[in-house]
Amino acid sequence: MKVKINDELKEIAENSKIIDILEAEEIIEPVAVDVFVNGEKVNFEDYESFKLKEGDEIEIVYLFASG
Amino acid sequence: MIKDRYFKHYLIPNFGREKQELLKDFKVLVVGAGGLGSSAIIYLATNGVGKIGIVDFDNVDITNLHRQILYSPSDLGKLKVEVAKEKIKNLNLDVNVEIFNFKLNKKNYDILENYDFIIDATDNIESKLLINDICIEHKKPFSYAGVNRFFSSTTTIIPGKSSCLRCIFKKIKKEHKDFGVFGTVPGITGIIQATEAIKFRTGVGELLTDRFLFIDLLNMKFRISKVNPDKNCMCRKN
Ligand SMILES: [Zn+2]
Repeated sequence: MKVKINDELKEIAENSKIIDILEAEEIIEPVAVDVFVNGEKVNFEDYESFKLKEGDEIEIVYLFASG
Repeated sequence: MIKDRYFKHYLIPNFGREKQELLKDFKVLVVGAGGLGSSAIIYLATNGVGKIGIVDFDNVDITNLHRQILYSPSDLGKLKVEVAKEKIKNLNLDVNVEIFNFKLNKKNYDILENYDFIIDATDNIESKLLINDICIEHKKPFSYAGVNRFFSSTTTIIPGKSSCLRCIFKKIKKEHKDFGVFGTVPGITGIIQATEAIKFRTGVGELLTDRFLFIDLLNMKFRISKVNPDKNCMCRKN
């Protein structure tokens, strides 16, 4: 199914959860993230259970620690 | 009009000599004189910020030189704060420099009382959260930035008014591996931090508050996310 992640159209597996897309973005390696789906903030406790659906617009905010 | 080093600022209609004058007694504390700190410090200095404080406990190491543009091979082994002070003097004699050769911690952070704006240019999450918390406690505006590989993020925080790091991020990894840093990433990001400090003092434009800027130099993308203060966060309690 197709979703938008930070404005980019991406193909992800059916029934993907937020945790799945965070793991796929591994090159970025943040120390923390904040995730919004269709403009609504998702609690971090729900990243493993929150099911994404076709057309969702996901926004990920990254915190980094190096300088 | 006298052509001094700030002449091109005087030509900008909403900046001008009047805003430049405001920088003379502006005091900025830069915590960390690494990649972010190098570029922030250089631009704060060339643009005439009256006083720059620098906190760092490290010596110049060969692995710093690809991104920490304050330092040269001849500085290897020297104390970063001392080299930085010397470099600033070469850049602009208008600037008063105060150096602190230690790691910022809960016992020595009262130095920030003497500054108007804090730049978090540290390289570890423990220090970033400490700066967040003490700036909230002391109501000091500050700029957060962090980098990783080709990426960085930055935001400006006005305590009590805009979102702090703890409003936004509820689960933060305390351990952080060294994933590497592409040489130009902290440069561009530190310049944004210096810009925010100068904008804060002069009141020009819009600050990067309640907005998180994500910089991706790998794909050359700049993206702003809107973030919101959490009314239950420690930063909302007086
Ligand atoms: Zn907060």
